[in-house]
Amino acid sequence: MLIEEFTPVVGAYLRRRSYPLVDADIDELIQTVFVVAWRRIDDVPHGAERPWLIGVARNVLSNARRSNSRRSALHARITPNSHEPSAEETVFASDRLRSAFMSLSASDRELLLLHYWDGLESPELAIVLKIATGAASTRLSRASSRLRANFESLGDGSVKSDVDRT
Amino acid sequence: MSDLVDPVEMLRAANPVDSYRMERSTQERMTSSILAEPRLARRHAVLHTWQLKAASSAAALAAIVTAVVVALGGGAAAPLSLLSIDALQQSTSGATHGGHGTSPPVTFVAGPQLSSSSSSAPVYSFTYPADPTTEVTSVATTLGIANPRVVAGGDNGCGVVVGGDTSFVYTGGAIGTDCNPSTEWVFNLKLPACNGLIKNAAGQLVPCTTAWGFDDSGATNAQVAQWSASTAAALTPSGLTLGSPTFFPNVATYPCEIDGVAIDGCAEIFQYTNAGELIEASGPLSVTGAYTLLGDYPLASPRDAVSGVEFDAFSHGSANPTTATVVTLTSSTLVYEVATMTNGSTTLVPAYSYTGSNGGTGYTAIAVSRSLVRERA
Repeated sequence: MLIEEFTPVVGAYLRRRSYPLVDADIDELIQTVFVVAWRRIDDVPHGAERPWLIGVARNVLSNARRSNSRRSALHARITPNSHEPSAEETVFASDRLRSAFMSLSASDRELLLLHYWDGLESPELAIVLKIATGAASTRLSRASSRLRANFESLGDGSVKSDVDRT
Repeated sequence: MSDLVDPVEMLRAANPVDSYRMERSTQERMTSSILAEPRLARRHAVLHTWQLKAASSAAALAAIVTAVVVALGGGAAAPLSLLSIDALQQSTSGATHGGHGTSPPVTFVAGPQLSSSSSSAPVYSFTYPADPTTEVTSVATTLGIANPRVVAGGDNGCGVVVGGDTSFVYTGGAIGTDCNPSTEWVFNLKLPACNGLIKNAAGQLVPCTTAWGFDDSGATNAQVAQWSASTAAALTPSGLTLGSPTFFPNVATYPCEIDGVAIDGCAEIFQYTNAGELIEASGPLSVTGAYTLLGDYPLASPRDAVSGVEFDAFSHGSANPTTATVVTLTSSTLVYEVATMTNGSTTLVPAYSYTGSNGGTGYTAIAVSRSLVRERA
């Protein structure tokens, strides 16, 4: 069944973006995702369930972050504090990589994480981001280039220490 | 770039969550709760996007090879193979129809302006290079990259990178899920340090006040055309021609054409600084060998093909639009779509790109007579 097969995918996607939420919070968001999927089960594309569900999860997380209604406790936990590092920043052991990554645009960062963390390829990225497959591929290529360029702009001096730390 | 550390590999390795596991009892409670929720009525059964077809095909374990030959009546024409399409690498569907964020049922109707005349058009088969190193190196040389050399690790963790002292050319635009084959090259200028990150007074690395990238927009279209014309011509793959460029500030875009017909999603793009320095560019890789003519296929009329127009019918999230929409299609242009066939080959398939009375563009339908086309279900 859809829920059993794709709970790990949706859960992993949400956890990567909401680190360090507790499992109960993640489970609540997962349930919201699958309620949407159930209500619209006829729209879930066969063979492309994963990107479709990640697209829903993306919107659920976005909506939850904007929400200031009844789930205020959860809202507080998933709304980034401007004085604290984001989930993405938290997990980078390399200062150089963190700096290079965080200087990218938000859309570049999202694209790279969907690809390198969630494993989505261009056709799936196109579905999640509602863009053409060719555009997804090109944007991914350019975001990767920008990450490399930013990383390189830091110079080789910090490479050794980064490697040591990881 | 350092030869020791690839930042994209570091990014991949920084993934904080390998998997997520929900407690069995929690999942059972959740499932019961979800199944108690009401479902929405099915909207439009036949509305699926080209993108979904592409993704579905990518996930498929095996493709069904169809080798049916259809003999046309009349006896004089050579038999034409049935075009058994696995996926279209369509690039415009859903792009400009104004339907983003909502997904009402859409009905397309043919406006009186659409022609009811039938015609024919050639269909071509081609193959992307399995190893584009030579092609990418050639592009790098044409773009004037000094000391080009192949760098380990390509774009998206695969493919080819040819780097020089001040810039790189990467492969991109892969069709498959394994980054192969690549369909285009991408050129990027290396950034001066101050356009990326810089140490502030406290010694911390922060983005420069000048964000990454260039925001030059002062060049005239004539200048951009002059800077790009010879390079664009030199990089045009054999068998293709370039159409007239269109311009965005400091950017020239040349559409690829074959037999004077544009190939959807194929273009050479060049972006410059105000001083005429190339910042970023991309274009199609040359194919292996030549574009092979499969035959001159009969086309449905633009009016008759309207029944095949597809539309991005589903939206993500919880939006539940119910308002039906009717779009009248008022003009059409013949284009080529790049299609992956069920036997694994790649083909240029004639298609109509329609404009709607609502101003929307990119509504697309296969133009080849439906008796000669089979699309993957």
